[in-house]
Amino acid sequence: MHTAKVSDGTVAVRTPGWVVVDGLISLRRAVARPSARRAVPYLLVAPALLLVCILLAGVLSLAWSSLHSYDTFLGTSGKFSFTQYQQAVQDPQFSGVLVRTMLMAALTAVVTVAFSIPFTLVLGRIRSRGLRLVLLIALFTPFLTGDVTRTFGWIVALGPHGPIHGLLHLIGVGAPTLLGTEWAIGVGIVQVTVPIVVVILLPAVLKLDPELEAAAMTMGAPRRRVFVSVILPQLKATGFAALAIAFALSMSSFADPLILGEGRNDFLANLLQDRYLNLGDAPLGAAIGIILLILVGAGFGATLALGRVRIGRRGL
Amino acid sequence: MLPELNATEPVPDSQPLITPPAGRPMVELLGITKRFGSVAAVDDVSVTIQEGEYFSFLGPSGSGKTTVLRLVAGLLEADEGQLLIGGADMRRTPPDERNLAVVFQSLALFPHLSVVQNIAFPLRMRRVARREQAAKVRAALELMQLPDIGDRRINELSGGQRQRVALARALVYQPRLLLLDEPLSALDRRLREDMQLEISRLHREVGITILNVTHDQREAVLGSTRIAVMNGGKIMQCGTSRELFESPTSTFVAAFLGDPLLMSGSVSGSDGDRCLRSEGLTLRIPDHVASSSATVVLRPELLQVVPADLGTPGWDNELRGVVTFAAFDGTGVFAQVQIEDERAVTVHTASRSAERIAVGERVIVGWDAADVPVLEGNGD
Repeated sequence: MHTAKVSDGTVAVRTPGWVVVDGLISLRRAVARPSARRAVPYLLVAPALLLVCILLAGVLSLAWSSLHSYDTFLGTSGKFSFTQYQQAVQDPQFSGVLVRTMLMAALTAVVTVAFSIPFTLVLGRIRSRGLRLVLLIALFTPFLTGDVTRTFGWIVALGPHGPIHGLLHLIGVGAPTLLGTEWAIGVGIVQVTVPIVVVILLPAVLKLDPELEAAAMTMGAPRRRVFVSVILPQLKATGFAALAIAFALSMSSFADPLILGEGRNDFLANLLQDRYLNLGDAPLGAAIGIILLILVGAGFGATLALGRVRIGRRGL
Repeated sequence: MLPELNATEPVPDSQPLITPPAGRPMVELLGITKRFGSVAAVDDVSVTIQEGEYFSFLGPSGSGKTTVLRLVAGLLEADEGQLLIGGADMRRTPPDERNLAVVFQSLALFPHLSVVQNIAFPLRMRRVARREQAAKVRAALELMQLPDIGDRRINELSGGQRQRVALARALVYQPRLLLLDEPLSALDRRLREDMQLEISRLHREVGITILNVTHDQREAVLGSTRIAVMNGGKIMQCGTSRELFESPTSTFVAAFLGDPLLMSGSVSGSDGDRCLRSEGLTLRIPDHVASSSATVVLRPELLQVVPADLGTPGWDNELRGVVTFAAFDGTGVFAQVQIEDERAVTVHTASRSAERIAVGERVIVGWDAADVPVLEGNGD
């Protein structure tokens, strides 16, 4: 110890600076001890673990309140019961919103992955650094803009005076405004999920060996079949993981149905918010939240499982 | 022993020195050039490969041999020149329509498919009926003497098995031409030579034309009907291994094959007394050497070596020296000898007195004039 060493001598110095240095040295020595070293990994994951625990506590408390009767007038919880779930399911809006949410989530997830695979292949193999930068900027701009700015941008773009409406009018489709329709919501959701899915796919695309494609060509595969028979199968596992994540994100989307759907095409998250805040029925909202969580989890798991199925492992 | 070469005139780089064997041409490269940026990876290469040949491109890395192979496969497009396969111009033919097979250095086996599915891939691309696919795959597995591993994944195979699967996949659709891009280089020596003999066997049995690319002269020498030695994008010399070893036309070819000591100098003396003066040494060379300068190619196997006190049978050339390195390699002694003028020559001897060849020993290195190749001219 510096302080100790110095105090052994003729002058005893105990400046605050040296105390800090001594503290750090002691800490370093304590950490270097074999017994302490074993604790390091646990210490490193502790902050993340804490966050997960808080989330888990929140979900558990939601689950608890969703499983008890509730007096909206008195604001008190009653006995254990499934009444919240019964109420949620019997809600005249519930089944429509549920079907819409699930269909839209599945559809946008598929569209997202279908858009992202070719984009990622180009991004991963482009030689020019300038072009790659342009693609990256195009990809991440919507992602970085923030939900509200981004969706209001779409309101302008899709609105009655926007370019898309004008274009549709020009080619004679003469469509009414897309705002408020499922089309608008879908476009908005896909815009956010594409960058995320591209980031998930990119490592798998970079791992593809171009030599395999060259080999396939010499064996008589035209480009289209190289894509279908060589590239896609190698991206299968990652592709399904990306599909699962896109599905989960779309299932819980809130801003796009709220703003671009103009309240006419609500998702489960919007229904939840409405019941929770507007009607002040927190346990009912909790029940809808738990239903959403279960559906997302089930869809996520099922999609991942689908990606692991090996078709025709044996034989030709 | 040495054929007459017109060595005073430089040999045109792109012309094969020895006329190709009779037969129908399978691959014809006519003045092919391929540039990457400003560098010509393949520089005005012309060569004809006959049907049924086992032709090797041999050269150091970066010599352009793999580029030649990729041009033939259609994976690259030539900047200049013409490529014919089976007499047809390949300019507008994409790789999938060339009906040839490539075994890549990496083997390029599909990790997402089983062994059987890998071998069936080219058949699937050709829309061969399922039943026929199964029969052909079985035949290919048999040809490659592969044990019952059809259902395994590629990552479950050993290196040698992968090699065989790659060959089986290349041969299953009976392509007219098989291109080998150093597929054996990743294997250890014993396995590599086994596979080499295997490919030679296939060449004989299947009668396929093989175009092989390698940096390993031993691999090229085993089995090839002809070898083209490449350097800097050009074919330096093309011929049988005997022709290349015994009559190299350039110092590059002479130096690349067999790890020799080259001694260059000026030629003097009349017939019966022709000599080469090289840095203070005077060496006897055959009378047929007509040029004013020449290079002798001293390969380890062509040289004799005896302890200095034993006396020699009177070789044409005898150099005294001291052994600086010696090792027994199973068939004889491999030694490095420092000769009088500080140059080192490598010798390999299996003679009876070989056990006396040890570090520090004074020895005589000798050879008869007619036994070593002589490169006429200044060798460029």
